[in-house]
Amino acid sequence: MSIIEVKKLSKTYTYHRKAPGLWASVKSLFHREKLYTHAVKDISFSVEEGELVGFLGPNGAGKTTTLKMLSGILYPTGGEARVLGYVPWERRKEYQKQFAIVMGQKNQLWWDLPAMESFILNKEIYEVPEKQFRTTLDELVDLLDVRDILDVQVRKLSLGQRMKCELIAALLHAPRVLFLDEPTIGLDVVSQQNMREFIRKYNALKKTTILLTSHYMEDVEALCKRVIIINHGQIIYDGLLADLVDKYVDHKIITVSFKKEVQKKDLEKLGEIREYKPQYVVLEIKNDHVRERAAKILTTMPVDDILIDEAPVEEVIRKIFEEVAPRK
Amino acid sequence: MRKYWFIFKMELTQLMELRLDFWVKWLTSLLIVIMNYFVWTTAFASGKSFGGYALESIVAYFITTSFLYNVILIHRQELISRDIVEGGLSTLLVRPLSYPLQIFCRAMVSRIVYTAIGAVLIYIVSLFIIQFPMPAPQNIALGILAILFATILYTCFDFSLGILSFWLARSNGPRWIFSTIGMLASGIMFPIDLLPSWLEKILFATPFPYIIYFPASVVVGHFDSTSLTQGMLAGFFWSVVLIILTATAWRRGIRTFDGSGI
Amino acid sequence: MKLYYRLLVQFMGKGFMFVAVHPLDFWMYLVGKIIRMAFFFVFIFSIFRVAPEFAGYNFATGILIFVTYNFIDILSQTFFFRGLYHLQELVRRGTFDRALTYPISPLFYTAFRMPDPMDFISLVPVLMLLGWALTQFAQLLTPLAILLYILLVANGLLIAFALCTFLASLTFFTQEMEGVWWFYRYAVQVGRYPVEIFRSPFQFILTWVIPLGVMITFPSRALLGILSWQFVGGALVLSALLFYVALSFWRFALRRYSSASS
Repeated sequence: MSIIEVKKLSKTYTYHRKAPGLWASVKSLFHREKLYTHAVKDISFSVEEGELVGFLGPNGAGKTTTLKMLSGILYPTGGEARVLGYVPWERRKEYQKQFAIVMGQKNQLWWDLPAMESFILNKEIYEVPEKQFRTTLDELVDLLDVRDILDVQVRKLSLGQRMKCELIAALLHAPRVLFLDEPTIGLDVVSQQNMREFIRKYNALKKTTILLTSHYMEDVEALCKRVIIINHGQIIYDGLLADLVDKYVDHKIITVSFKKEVQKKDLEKLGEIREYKPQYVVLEIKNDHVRERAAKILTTMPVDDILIDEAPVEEVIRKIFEEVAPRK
Repeated sequence: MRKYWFIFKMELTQLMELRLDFWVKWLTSLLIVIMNYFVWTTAFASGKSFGGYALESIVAYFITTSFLYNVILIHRQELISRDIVEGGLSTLLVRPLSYPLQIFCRAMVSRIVYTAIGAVLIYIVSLFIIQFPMPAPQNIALGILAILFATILYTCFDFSLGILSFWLARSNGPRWIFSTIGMLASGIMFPIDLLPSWLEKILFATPFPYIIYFPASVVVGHFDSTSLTQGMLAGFFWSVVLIILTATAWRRGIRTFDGSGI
Repeated sequence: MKLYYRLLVQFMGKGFMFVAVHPLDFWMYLVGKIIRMAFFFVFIFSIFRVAPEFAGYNFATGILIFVTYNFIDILSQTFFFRGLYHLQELVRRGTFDRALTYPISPLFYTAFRMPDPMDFISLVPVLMLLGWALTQFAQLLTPLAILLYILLVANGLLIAFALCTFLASLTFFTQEMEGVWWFYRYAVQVGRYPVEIFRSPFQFILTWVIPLGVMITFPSRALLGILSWQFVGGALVLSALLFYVALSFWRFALRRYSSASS
């Protein structure tokens, strides 16, 4: 049986509209108009134990809403879900002790106290035995290299250090399922790198099932074999990241530097020009022609260096979102 | 001037948005009025007048106070403090709009709206719950002058407490203690002249009584002409002093704010 | 049960640490509370100086009611008021979501996560006053009366918790809680006076509906031996009922939060 199973899960939000102007405000003292948004619409998927799945989508696509429902924070408007065999929104203690959610923008650490204090509190909340707490903490602290900041007030820490501590707080009770909502948001490049490194190691080490959402394509590329792409509350792709590129992209990117200047018009015949300098060009060439055209460049032009790349995932995803036209 | 009029309208719209707060605030005032009415009716049960007050005038005093409480004590300190701590002030300062004036202007909107509502409510209370004499017209006229001073005084206090955040990262404590003392010393809870005379003297050496106690007493007609003149002069004196102090603090504060480089 | 006891100890410990982090806040709050208490003591003193009988209560019994009010107020502040009051902040920042994923009761976490153990200090003057009041009617005291007093104070605390839980639940429906909490603070302050001073229907409302009478006046009357058994029974039933209603409402509101928030 799959560790996470989601069937036709839906979530509708209500909100209020207020027309501009003073009179409308006076009226709103007594009555407000109700409106609905369908944040998540009939999504279904399942995740096996130990998988690390990336959840992709633009802002407001329904990623966070889905994670919140799987964490039991939100009740769905319709559909079913089971994580570890539990219905999340029943909020059973047995379930809550086996999963964790890290929200990049919402910290659980106590702002005014050293992170260690929050860890001890979580130990009590999750009823982690003292011995297990010590070993887990030691292990995590070493993995993340934060030993010397545990006794510093959280407000004095940098964002990167704070996120590391957030992760520790979430992992102390050794969850079997981990939801990461934008874990690298706002971090600098080095911290992002560290965070990714840690997530990969942790997943390999503990076989924890991880569901990760992120804005940064690098996160997904570096970590996830499988991705679920969601837009306007609906799943538009669920499968291997590698297949995604094959499925949606019919071209490759060829970057060439030349020993001598090459005319732009000579290059135009080969493919679409992305970037051009007299001794450098980036070309977009259809998959079917890549071999033949590359050969042609090598034989007929003063090539210094040539590189053939897959189209970047980021671009692929952008393309998908543009193609799947927004509905109202 | 047009832009301040625009802010005025915006604030009015925002005021309407917070509908629960709006109603609960008035319910609270009503509760205070009713409580004080019964407390004092009971105190008067043993006969006699009470420290120079007749029952009617003390009831009128409390009704006036709860009106003034809602009209004068419009606080913006949390907002100002947040603007400073979270750095929002820097974007506000670069706009061609005086920040203090804008704060003041927005607070005035609440005051005007609450004055209107308060007047209606007092009328309703006087019809259905508690009978009390309406103040004489000349008392109202003098009262408006006293309320003007009171508004200036409170605005200065409120603004100063808000800009404490220029110097203190956390100003909750000082702000809380001030509002507690202000609550007691300004006469919202009970007329100051009912306190033992040593305490009364101490309080009258501060500007607090001129925020609530003095204007309320003027409206109710509790003063003779000598103490009335004295009170008005004191109100004027404190207004000038506080305006100067607050303006100085603001100018210095801005300098430290610029220096902190947010 | 053991889990919640351990958590409470944890939260208390954190409370002490906060004091160490923000010493200025601590002193300000402490001084403010003592000033406020002193003020009302002076006020009660002033009332009884003029009117020796207040709704059938003399000075010592008046003090007893004042002390009982402070007892319940301070203990509720110490343990759960701050947590429930600050629920609005948790919800606004979205950090309340976290509380829903913990394997403990969200209400327990919300209410008891930020106790103010230093508030115990303000119990010192209250206990001194209580001691003085007790010497004034030493001949009335029986072990049973003292036991009943303690029981009814605990009962009053439970009622306060129920009321606060009920109000905190409103946080899930509106973001404008400031006024609601002010209303609660003022309403409870009415409890400084014996409910006998209010005329019906207010007396009935304040005894049983906003049950200040049961919370504050009843324990004092039990201590003086003037509370009948039926009323003691009624008080216990009422608090159980209120607790049940508050808990149900909290669950309902939480369910709504989980279905509607974004």
